[in-house]
Amino acid sequence: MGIVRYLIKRLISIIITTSAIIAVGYTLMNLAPGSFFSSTSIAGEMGQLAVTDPKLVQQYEHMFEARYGLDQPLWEQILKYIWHSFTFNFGNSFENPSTPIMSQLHTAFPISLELALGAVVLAIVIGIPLGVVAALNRNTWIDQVLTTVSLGGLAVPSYVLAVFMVLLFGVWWQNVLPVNGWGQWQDAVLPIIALGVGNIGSITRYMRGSLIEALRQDHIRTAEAKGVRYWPIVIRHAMRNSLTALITVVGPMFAFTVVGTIFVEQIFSIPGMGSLMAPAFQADDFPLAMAEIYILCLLVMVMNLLVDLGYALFDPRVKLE
Amino acid sequence: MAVASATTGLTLPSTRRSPLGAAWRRYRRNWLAVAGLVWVAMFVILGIIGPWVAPSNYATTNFLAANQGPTWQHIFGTDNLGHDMFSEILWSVQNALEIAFGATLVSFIVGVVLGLWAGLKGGTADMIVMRLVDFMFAFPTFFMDLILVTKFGRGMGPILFAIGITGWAGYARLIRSLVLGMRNGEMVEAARALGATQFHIMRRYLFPNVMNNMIVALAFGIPGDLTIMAGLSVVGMGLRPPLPSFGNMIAAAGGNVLGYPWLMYFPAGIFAVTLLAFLFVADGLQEALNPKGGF
Amino acid sequence: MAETLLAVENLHTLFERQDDVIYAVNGVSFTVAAGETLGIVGESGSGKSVSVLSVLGLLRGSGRVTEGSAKFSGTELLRLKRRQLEDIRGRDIGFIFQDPMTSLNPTMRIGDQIMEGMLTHHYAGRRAAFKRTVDLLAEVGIPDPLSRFRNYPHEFSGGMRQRVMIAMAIACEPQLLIADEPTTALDVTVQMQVLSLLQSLRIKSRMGVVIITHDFGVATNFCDRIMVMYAGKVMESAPLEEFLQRPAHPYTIGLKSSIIEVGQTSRPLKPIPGTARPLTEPPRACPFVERCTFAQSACREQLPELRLVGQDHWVACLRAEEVMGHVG
Repeated sequence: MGIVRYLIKRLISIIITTSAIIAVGYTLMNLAPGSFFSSTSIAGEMGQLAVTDPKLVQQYEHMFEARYGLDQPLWEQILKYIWHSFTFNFGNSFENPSTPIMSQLHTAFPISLELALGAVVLAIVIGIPLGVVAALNRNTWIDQVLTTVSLGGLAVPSYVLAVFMVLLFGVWWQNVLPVNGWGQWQDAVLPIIALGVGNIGSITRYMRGSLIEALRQDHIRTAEAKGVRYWPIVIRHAMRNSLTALITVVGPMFAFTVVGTIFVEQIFSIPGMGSLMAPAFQADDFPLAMAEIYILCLLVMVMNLLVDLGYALFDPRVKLE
Repeated sequence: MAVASATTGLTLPSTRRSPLGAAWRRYRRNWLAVAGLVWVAMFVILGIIGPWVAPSNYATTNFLAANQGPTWQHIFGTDNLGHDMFSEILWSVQNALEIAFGATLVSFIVGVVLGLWAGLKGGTADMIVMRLVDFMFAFPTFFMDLILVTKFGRGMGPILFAIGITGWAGYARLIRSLVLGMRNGEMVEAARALGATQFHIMRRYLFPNVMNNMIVALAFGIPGDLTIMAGLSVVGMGLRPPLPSFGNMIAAAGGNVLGYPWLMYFPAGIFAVTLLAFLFVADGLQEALNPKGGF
Repeated sequence: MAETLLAVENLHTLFERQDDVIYAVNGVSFTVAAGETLGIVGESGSGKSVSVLSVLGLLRGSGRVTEGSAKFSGTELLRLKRRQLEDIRGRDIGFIFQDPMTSLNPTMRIGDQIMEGMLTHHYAGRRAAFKRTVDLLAEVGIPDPLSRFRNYPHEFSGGMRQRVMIAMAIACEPQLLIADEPTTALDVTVQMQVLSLLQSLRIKSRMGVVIITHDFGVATNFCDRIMVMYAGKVMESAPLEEFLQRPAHPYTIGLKSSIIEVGQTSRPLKPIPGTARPLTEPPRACPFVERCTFAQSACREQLPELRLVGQDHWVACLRAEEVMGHVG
């Protein structure tokens, strides 16, 4: 199947899935119990007066609903919202009605993307060599150590690691690396490491297993019988096959990392999407929260698409379908 | 008693020797898994008896003793409200266990039901379930949990339910593939060819294989749910204080770490070790029950 | 007299498993001369493949050679360092494996795979190697070699893949070619094609060829010399004519009786009773004794050694002379 047709097919699939996500999210948000907006946002509008007067509150609620189009039938709302999402027209957030959501996301998105990509790249750059070393020294102490440490790495969630880092670099070894804020390259070091450690562990283990499996294949023996030297066999014959298998892991890993950025940003006080999201949820700021989820899901799916394309490129047996 | 196989020379274990025993022996060889098991056992016991042995209730405050480091009276120190951290942690263990085990159970049940339905019914049922599974994998479940918790509140029940109801996809996929594999498997055909009855086939071949995979999946599911649960707290959507939870303690300590590092050592450390323990156990189980597969 | 390419003497190989040891090869000796074709015949588990793999250091997992010598043109292979062994493999000794599907790298173009050996051994530069590869593909009977150079293994049929393997094995014009069950994974018609290809190749080049097979018919149709193995030991070894007319080992006779020969309709098939079992201890008596129709008490007590009973005809049986006299 031609690449273009495949791309179109995938894009359509992405659109459908994202729309489904939005619809589901929107519906969930609309479920009782709890009113659609918290009373704080209404109170913000109304000012301090008549918060206690139920009739006035109701009036304001209606006004809110009209403004945000919430008085229309649900399915209409959903459709309109989906359309707006795809045109990136998110309107204003509840919290700061004067600030369009888009501009908030505009600054926050690249930061989160940097973090996530950085963590994944770090994981690949470190994880692959480690995995290779573990596989080639199978069952020796090197392998044992690497395997165990990797398991440890992926066991500990990124936020726990982040918190320990804050302790380490915020209390004990101050002024070595910053634990807050975002502006210079040093700010990115700790968060990316915190995000990446788990992924490193994951890739190391996967690479190890994959390489061991690749080396067991019959065609490796054929290469040996041809007299091909050790390293060319490992690199040209074994790794080529195991690397393609690794690509399949990168997609889900990216999604996982994106979720992780939410925590890490909180802990390191980084103004990315995650830092926006937590308060959004806490304050029931629905448009902002939904918009963020939408963007992040979109990001994840586009990455998956790229990964699949890359995979097809590498492995000639795979036919895009 | 071993039977030498004609063609391969491999000795097949007699069907009388317990596979469970063999698995246990394999498990024992992995010292990390054993250590993990010990810790997990301790953890579970603490979870059950915790509230009774705790020096104080999690809500008890004592402003006079606030912000103290570890002392004999308060082994893990106190926080800014005077809560005894040791008690907090003990109470948290129970909450953590309840939610993690509960959520895993919910995910498991939902997943198994859907997976069985898809695998056994096939056709449209299968397609529906698979589409659902794909969707669940596309939509990071954490976001769904956030939304659910926002709507249903930050209590034990809603959190348990939220995590549980969003985690079923992995189990469903596993069960479905196992069922499909077993249905069409060569093992089953061979057994049938030998004249075994349906029941016999199920008991001897389907059941152990499926059981092993499920046990391993469950073992990995618990630490996963623990992580999600604490993660919710980190973004502020976890158990509503003063209900104690590891995530809350970690998140709160994050802000205070400069002045009061002990608030972080203990909860974060114990949490991390517990996760590690569960994972080592799960990993060990996988090696013991599925010697060939996994990584 | 043609020079001896490969001389294996008293080879012993074992595999160590978790709880026990498998004695796969227990004192195997044979020679291969230039231009000669040796057929090694035996059931699964007889150690035929393992013997040859041991010689080239291609054992996997826990296999080790514990005793014996294997000289290639005078060089002791078993004592070589890895680097030296790598030099000999592919360049002086070519190897064809059993299953062409799994033995070829699925992510590498077959042309590159054939060229790889030549480049590794500096047999030729890139351009010359490329040209030779295309010529080889044509020689082994692959149509349209220039464009098929760029294909991947999964784009070929089984027979074609085996031809590619053959091309790969002879790329550097080795003196010795070893084929491990070259026809087993193929259809019958394709088998014949592959065999005649091998035949024509070796006639042209004076290569020594070793064919390992469990197919008696393949061996007898193709080889100058046949060696029968069982339980890691050589049972009988003789030139083809001698072998067919005066078999001297009960196992050989059993083998002959258990195959269908074209044209025979009325002779009943007599399979050899029992099954072959790899040994978990070194053999102390004749390993075939359980299934042998000529067995007597002496056979259970001593290990028959290979001895000469005819023109270049070796047998490991205490009652070989009687067996020879006994026809069919």
